[in-house]
Amino acid sequence: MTKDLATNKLPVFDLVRCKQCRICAHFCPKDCIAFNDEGDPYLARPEACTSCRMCEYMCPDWAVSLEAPSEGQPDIEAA
Amino acid sequence: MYSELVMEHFRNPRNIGVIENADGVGEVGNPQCGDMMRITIKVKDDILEDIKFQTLGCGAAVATSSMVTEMAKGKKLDEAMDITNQAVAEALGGLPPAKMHCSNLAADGLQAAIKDYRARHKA
Amino acid sequence: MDRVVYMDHASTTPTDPEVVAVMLPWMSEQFGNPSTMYSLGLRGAKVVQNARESIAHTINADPEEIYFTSGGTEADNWAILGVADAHSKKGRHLITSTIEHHAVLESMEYLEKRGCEITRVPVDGGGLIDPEEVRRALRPDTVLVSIMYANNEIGTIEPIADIGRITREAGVLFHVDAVQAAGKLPLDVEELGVDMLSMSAHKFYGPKGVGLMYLRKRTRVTPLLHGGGQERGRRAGTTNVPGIVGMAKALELADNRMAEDAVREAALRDRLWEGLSAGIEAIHLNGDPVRRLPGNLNVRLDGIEGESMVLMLDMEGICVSSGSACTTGSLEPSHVLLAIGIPAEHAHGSLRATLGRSTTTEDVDHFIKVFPPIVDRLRQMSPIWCENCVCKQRN
Repeated sequence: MTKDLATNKLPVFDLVRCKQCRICAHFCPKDCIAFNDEGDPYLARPEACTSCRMCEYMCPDWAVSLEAPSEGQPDIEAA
Repeated sequence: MYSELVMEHFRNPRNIGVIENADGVGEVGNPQCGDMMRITIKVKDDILEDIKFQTLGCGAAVATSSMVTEMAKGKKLDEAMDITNQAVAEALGGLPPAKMHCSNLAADGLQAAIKDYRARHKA
Repeated sequence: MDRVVYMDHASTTPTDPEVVAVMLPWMSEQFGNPSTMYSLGLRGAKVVQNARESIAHTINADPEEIYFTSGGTEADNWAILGVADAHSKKGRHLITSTIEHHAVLESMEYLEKRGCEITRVPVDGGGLIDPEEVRRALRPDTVLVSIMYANNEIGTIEPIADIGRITREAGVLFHVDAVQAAGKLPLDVEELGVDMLSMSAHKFYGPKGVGLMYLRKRTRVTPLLHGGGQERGRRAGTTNVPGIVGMAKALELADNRMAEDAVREAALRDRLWEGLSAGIEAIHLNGDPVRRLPGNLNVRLDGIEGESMVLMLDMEGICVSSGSACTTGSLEPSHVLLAIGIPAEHAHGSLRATLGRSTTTEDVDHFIKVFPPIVDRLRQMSPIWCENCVCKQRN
């Protein structure tokens, strides 16, 4: 299976850039990405994420980037 | 790219298969190079009574394999040994220059099978 | 044979009718040369400028950073040979990968024969480049890193932004061959951190014979083509007005429908793979299972040679390509498949299907239906395929 070379990085969503098109979730092979009531994406299942980066590559607004998770809060939604 | 005759032999190759208890077996080529051929022959009274082939390879490799079996069937062993790669390619109405090396398999395979037969039946 | 199922979009695409429509006037009544002083020519100059602005906007560049070329090959050659020449005082070391397109690899080899040193960073089994390998390959005399955004054979998408951060930090120029990515993946030269980027119009439903190089301002590159002063003196040759107009339109259309196309093509590609792998034994996926272009499928089949599959599929109206030596015009099978660790005998048995805008569910189902009997037939005539033998136990 896909294991990213820069391991342990998880997607972080820039909600200022995000236009809520949901293509990130479409291309997520593990269905890790969900949307809150406002329609904003968040990483719902960080443990399942393989850091494959398809969300980052497909995002038309450059709103997804893969970053090393901050201490103890791997699933935090980026502001 | 290929002539109609080459495509006809590729679509409907003659003499495909393996002869059980063959009198001679020829194997040439190598899967690493992308082409390989196995010819089995049945010999009676110094004549190629039956001949079958299996080929892994491109259109030219399959067509030349098919053609060489057609050309050799019923021939005397000495005559069959004289079939050249060039003659097989010519019988097919020529091959694209980049494909000439593919035709080398066919006559080489036949000759290997006849040599195998002769080695087994040394008087 | 009536039905044609075209599944070779990585090779080329049909020009979009809308693109053809905008091109036509510029080859007929508006035929003027943009480098002239009268209005017939100046109208061409104006439309080329509009195209330049539109393309620049799409990839987040300035219009003055877009240089039109005859296609991806020229852009790749120019980037590599031009940088090597202009920066030869700094050094003669260049970095690329083992799975680049021939336009890059052959240019590198040309330089190697003339005294340059080339490092070819390896890839993993899925075709991925580790950005750290690029970092390790950097030397004080490195003048250029050239890495493709997406691979033409197995569709692998490379971590360009990560490599861009590394080259920027090191102060080394970074060229990206985006020929396969353009129109399929979002391109932003700032986000990606690239100094040069190549693309080719006919890969995204534009015309053949036209492409471009993005060249970051103040980047020194020796021209490849010498002559008139077109493209601000950096790329001589009469401006290909219809081609450029068509390319700009094609990129605009691709950009507008990118997400929609990607989702649809990925779903069809997955359907094709599921159908083929369910109906055929000893069929394996080549490349990364996830991180690849949406429409790309590349498989290998034990016991069969690729060209024979291509010819048989052609009889069913299906257009695909193969990584076998016989279709590459050499005795060596695909360098990409060898680089990801596939043994030569299996690389010869590889098949690439690249889906596109015109691909339908019916096309995919037609492929799934006609392919298994072809595989059976070719395996029956194969000397290395037999029931219950070792060839089936390989993976």
